[in-house]
Amino acid sequence: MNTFSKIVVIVFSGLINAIAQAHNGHGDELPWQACSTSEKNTPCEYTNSHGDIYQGNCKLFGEALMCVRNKPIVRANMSKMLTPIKLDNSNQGTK
Amino acid sequence: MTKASISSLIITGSLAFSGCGGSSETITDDETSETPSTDILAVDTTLFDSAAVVSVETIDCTLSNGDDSSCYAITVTGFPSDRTELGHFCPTDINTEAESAGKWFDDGVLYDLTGEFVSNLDLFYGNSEWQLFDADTGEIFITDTQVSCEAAARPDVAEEYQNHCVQCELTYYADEGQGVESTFLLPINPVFRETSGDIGMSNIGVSLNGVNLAAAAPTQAILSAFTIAAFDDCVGHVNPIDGYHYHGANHGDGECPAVEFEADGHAGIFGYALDGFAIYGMLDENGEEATDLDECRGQTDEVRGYHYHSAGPGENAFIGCFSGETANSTDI
Repeated sequence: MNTFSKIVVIVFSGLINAIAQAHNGHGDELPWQACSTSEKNTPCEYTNSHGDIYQGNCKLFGEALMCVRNKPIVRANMSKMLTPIKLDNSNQGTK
Repeated sequence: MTKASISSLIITGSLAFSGCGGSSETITDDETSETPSTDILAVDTTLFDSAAVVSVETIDCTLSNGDDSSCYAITVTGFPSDRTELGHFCPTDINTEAESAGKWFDDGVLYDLTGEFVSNLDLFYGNSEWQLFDADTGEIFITDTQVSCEAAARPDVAEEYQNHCVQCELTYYADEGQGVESTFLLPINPVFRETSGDIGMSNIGVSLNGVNLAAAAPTQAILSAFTIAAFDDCVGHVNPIDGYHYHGANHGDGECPAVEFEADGHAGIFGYALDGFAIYGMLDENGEEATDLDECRGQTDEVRGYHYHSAGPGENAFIGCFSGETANSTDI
């Protein structure tokens, strides 16, 4: 496998790049951010922009920890403590 | 061209960045080691779609704990046997509807990658630098050649390919209607690890329809270049090494074929992890998820023994870790 091929695999298949992100607010950083200061296998939790709560454990993918849920998602409409954020451009889930 | 490869083995063993293998030895709070070995079922190769399998061999192998064992070396076609074509991936313009577009995921949610969605990425990500379309024509910037897709599918995305919807065609790497073959080693009789094993950055398993189940996509790197690595409805896309591969399980949505539930209403099986344990869908026929999943997203029942349940289609993961030993060397 040549160097270029490895690079492509890294981007599409697996290595979690530690590049600092400029994106704020809504972003796929949440599962990673939830474990950014945690140890591997410790409990983690994040709430996405819809107000849904994801609870799990910090698991290692490549060089970075990501919060992998192992509890059922707590939907926003199931939690009166949260107010979901309405995104005009969102189109969640199924067609 | 159909390229035979042992990608899962090569990639796992060769990339210096890997966090799998040795680092997993540091885990101390293992939950899976308490599961009794009587809950183990052997890999059932008859569950694979025959059209997805090139060959199945029984070979000697060495497990990640150093023990000698027997494994199935399963070579799959790399093209999903339950489909005749892949896609859609990127929308062509800002008016493209969901039926003609693929998917993108973000913080646990799978979105239709419609033209409208792409045209609002600046709002979605809160950054005005997102501009994946021509403001005059509404045309989406797509990597529509092999050169451009490969140039965009790398950490140091060239300036001219930033703000692109990235898609690579499988026909760049395989004949029309075919895939990039891969061989997977699965312990015939799974063995529980003493401590759970890290996923690493390579494939985590293989689907029964003949496709690689990939580790988490590096979304931070992808987004940092203002690119979207578009998925199709099955949360799959193409790279030059693995060909078509999945980053999530989204059976029964859009153009992605459904997987049948088990006779008892349990979620349906769709693949095997590299440790030989089966992977089932997230939800049962009532739309409910198990409440007793371990850290790897595994559980045990009397019918299926120990098995995994995939995370949701937008969660960028199938499972959290390996509860069993993987095969890390072979004589093939």
